[in-house]
Amino acid sequence: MPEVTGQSKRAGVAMFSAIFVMIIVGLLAMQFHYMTRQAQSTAFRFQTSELARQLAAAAIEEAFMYVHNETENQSGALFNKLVSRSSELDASNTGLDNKNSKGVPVPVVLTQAQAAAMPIGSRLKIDATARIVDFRNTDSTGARYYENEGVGTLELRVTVEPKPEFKKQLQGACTITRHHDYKIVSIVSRRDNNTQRTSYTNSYILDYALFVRDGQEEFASTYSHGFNSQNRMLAIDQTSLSADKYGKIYLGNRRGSHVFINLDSERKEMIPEPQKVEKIYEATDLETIEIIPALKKYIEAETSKLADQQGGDLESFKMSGQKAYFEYERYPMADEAYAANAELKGSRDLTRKGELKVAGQTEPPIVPAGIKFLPVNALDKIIEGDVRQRYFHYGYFFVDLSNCRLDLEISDEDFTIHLGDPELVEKFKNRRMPCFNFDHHGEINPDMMKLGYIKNNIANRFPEVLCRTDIENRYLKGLNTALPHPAMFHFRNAGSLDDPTMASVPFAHMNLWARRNAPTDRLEEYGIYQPAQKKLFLRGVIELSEPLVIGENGDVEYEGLGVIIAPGITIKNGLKRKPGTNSACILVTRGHPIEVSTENLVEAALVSMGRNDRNGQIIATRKMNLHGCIATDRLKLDKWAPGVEHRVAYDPFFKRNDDLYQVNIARWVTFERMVEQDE
Amino acid sequence: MKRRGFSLLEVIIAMAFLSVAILSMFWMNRASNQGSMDAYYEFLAFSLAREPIEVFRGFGYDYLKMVADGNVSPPAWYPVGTMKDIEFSLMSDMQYPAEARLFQRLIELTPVTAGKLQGMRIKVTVAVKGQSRVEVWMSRKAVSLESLVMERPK
Repeated sequence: MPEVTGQSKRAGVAMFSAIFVMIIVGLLAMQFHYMTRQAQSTAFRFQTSELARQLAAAAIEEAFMYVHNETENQSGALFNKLVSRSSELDASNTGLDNKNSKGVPVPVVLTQAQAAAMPIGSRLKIDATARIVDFRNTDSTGARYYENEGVGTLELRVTVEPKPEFKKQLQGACTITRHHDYKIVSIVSRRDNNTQRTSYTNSYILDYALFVRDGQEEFASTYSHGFNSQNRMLAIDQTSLSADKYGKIYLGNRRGSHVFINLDSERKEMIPEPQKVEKIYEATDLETIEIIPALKKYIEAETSKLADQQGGDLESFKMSGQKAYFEYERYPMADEAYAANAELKGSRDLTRKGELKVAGQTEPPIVPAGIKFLPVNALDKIIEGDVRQRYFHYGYFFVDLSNCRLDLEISDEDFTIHLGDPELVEKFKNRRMPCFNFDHHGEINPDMMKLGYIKNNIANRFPEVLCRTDIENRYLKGLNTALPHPAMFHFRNAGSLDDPTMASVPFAHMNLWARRNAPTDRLEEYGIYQPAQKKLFLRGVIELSEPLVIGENGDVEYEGLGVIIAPGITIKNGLKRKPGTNSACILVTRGHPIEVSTENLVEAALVSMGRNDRNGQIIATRKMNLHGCIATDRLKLDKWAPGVEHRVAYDPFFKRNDDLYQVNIARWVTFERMVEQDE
Repeated sequence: MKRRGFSLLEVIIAMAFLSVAILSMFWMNRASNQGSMDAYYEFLAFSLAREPIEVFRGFGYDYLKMVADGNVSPPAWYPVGTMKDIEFSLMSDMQYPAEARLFQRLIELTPVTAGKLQGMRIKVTVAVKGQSRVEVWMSRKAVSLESLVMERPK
């Protein structure tokens, strides 16, 4: 055996050391290589994941904008599903476990097109869905909103993940979930003209072509001049509409009270028939003699003279040849109807004076009607509440003594006397003597006519023989039927209310307003009103913090369904609906005026009401030509431009069988969750 | 006693084995080094591409539209339409890793529409500057990232 030296042992150690070092170095190199591969893989996954996130961020924005745009289209599928809360997407009452079963797909074509153009993006699948996760149809007081109105939360969810065929190659996915609040508000709500509403709706006021909320107060405080005016005329013309499309008219009377419109020459056809009656009652000989003291005196003198001559007594008496009837005629009330007949006007004035004296009232000059409603033959289908017509009922005693003769029998001898007093004959030849109410005036001219006798012996049986201003008849042609009082609602709660001044204001559910307290200049910034382009884009209910002026640069064309509420609105030029669109413009003030200072056509609903302590009113400073409707606290015709006929043609768009809703989805994100997945 | 040495053939074979082993390790090391640097620079380039997209998303569609229409100038840090070096110093408002100087960036804005939808496509391309060390390490010469910024209601 060879001897192993120490040198040989060292050589073996060196070799093993070298091998060991190499193994260690090799292992480190492999570890390094492994880590490198990991780093490269991470970098790739980062890119995929980041791309998925960017596409998801783009898709969620696109999905939101798609929903925002689609919900502007009342005939769109998504709009209708949202408004009707289709079971397809309504998860508001669905248990948590089943919420994901609800939802409608939302197209994201722009994002998908962009992804398709990218090498990695083309391998990713992008899906977006929308669903309702919450919906509230009552306000904070518990009052229920109208029909489908409410406030909800819409969830948009976007998922970006590898297509199935690339799932093994690509690792990276992203899901973004966002919540947006949205509001559904009824801009125009259906109304059947034959029935009253049974609950409050924001837009109930659009049922009316003319609605004067505080009409009763205005009527009383202006001695009826709120609705009657010397030289102003507001014509509510619906002649071109069918009955089911008529806009109603309510002049604000409280239950149990009425307001009236003076009949004038132009409206004398409204006076109830018969407008003239001859011979209500034919007075007997004795009644005639009792009524006409001068006749009685003459006859007594003549018979006394004959009796003295014959030395006997009057045994019989018969008067013949005279005409003595009670008759009446009905005349318009306003002054202008009496321009050619001062005596008749005097009778009307005296009659009215007596009535006012008894009632303890005063009244300024009686002026013509300030409002006319057309067509007059359909007023019973148009008017709500108690609107009366006022005309002059002229009751008089007609007497003609020119052919009168008296047949007397004195001491068995007959005598015939012809009235020989020319003054008497002349005075009572074809004479109409107005029968004033004795209770109002007492005896006015006792030598001519005994009013007291008429009161006690004729009028007690035939009241129509007396003069009066008549407000017993409804403002209807040929009818005098009571018309339904409009249903009023207090604080948006169901339940009728007698006092219209307490009635809820229109568009009172501020929770459903799309914007609140916005400065006027923001309208342009928001793209709602573009004065330079003369365009108005409406969507939902917007409240402004400042007065609004529309049409400074000319006629404005509007598109969309919407309401603008502002502390004062001035319309400088025409306002027209974009042709062929389902558009409606409703301009609202509360306690501030709406001024229309143009003769151009204005197609809008003008609503100025809602604050009892201020004066909501509409003022036309020029001849108004409105295609829409008017609702106001007080009409105040005296503020309107004089000498012209202002015209309101009710827009049948507001009287419909269906509800027109508007959906406003908030741009604000109330909740967001992003889940990235790269494994 | 005479010690027995290694024959030349044995030495050559041993050296061959050793060479293969050492060269493999060198190759693997070099490849690892290359891969690490590639991943690092890819990550950096992608981050540089992502940055303007996030900033521009914050600016919103309306601003980007004005930029695209030439009505306003974009911020100096984010020039649009031209490939620009990413330059900064210690005193700059914007700070990046030092190697960011080795890249150039191109931001492109392209309006896109679909029906009523309007958006702005943002494409950011980050490329390696010529004759820089990144050219050696990075396998790709440029990376790009895209996204959309949609018009929003006001």
